[in-house]
Amino acid sequence: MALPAAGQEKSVRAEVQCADLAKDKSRLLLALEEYLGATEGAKRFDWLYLENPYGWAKAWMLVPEGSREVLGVAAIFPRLLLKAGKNTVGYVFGDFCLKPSWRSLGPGIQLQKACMLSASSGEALSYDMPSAGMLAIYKRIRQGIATEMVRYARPLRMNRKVSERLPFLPAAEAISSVGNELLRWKDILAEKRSNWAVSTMDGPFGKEFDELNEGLVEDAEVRVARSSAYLNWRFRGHPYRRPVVLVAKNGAKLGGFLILDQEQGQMSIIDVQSATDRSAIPALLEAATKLARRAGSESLSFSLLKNDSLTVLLREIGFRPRESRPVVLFGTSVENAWRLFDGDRES
Amino acid sequence: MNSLQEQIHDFVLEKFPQARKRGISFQDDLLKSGILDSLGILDLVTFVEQSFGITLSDDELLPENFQTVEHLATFVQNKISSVNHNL
Repeated sequence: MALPAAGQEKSVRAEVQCADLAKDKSRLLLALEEYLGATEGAKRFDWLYLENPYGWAKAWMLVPEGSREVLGVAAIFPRLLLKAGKNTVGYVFGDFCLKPSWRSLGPGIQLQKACMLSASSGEALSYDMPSAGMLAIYKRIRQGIATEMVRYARPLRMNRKVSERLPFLPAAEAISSVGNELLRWKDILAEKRSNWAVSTMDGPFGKEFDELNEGLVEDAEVRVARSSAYLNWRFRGHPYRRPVVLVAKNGAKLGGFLILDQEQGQMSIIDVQSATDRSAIPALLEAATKLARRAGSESLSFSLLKNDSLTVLLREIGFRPRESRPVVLFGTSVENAWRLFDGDRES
Repeated sequence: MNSLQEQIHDFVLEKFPQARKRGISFQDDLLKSGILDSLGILDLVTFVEQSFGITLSDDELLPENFQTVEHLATFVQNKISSVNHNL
């Protein structure tokens, strides 16, 4: 691993180029697969970069002088956002990656600045849910408003925790069974009566979801608009994830929906939307809890911004805050006026 | 220069567990090996700025300046010399 002495080798310069998504597709795919570990490369690329109902993604590549090798990629994906009830096109940052030998901060800053310049044209709003490495870039360039997304969890089963502390299997199983039953009864007692009938939905999102989105008056100043076109692309068109969709209805009237995803056996709520009165949300959360429990999930997670008003409701029904991770917001000055969930980032 | 290399080397060993585990030399590649990532570079930049009284611009955060302890020490030495020359 020893290198030539410092100052003796010729340095390689690199520049940021705007990618042509059609012409540069194979080069981008190679870099995304190698540096980001993106699976199902071509399918994912077509879905994420080209099939978004609000337009193509924009991507930039870091390329060394005199070569076609891609050393790094950064992209922005369009989102229809609702700002104070009005539609506006914004962006979510994603797919940022660099070849390990180029992770010296400077090249990353160069790449991210190109993205930010494009994303902030006019008064566009944008957001990022950065990795730790990416956060270093934001810290260095001191841009955007940093806030936090907190994972709330509702415990459903005690098996894993008990077996970690009690290696004697028969005793662990017996204690877990009692504990699981107590948790189930705790949820039953906390359950509120509701007029909403909650069921799973298998087909595409229809026009009633557009009506729900358009009729919504929310306390969040900025949120992603959930049109049926967006929902079908985001949750039905995904190349390899098949989330569960729960809908709350009173007769034919749609009161809200909730989207659940599963990773390594653990279930998470990645999106939720209800009519303005929010009365469907408790019923959706209860149904999601039952479904997660039946699926054997140890807990049900739901991540949202730390100041989201929904956190009050979550605490009331037994969700507790766990770890948090960074979110960076652009084009806005009020950090607590956004509503973002895990489903708002798909890259 | 040796003292400068040693100071940087000591910081890397103290701050990054992977470097301690592998026992790096002045010439080992810190980027390719994954010992340093963007967050690590940020710590290293803060360390050299505070320890040696210099300010690094974004344009100077290049792989060639952070590749090894030796490279970084040479870069910092040149930077200190240019600052002193301009005083």
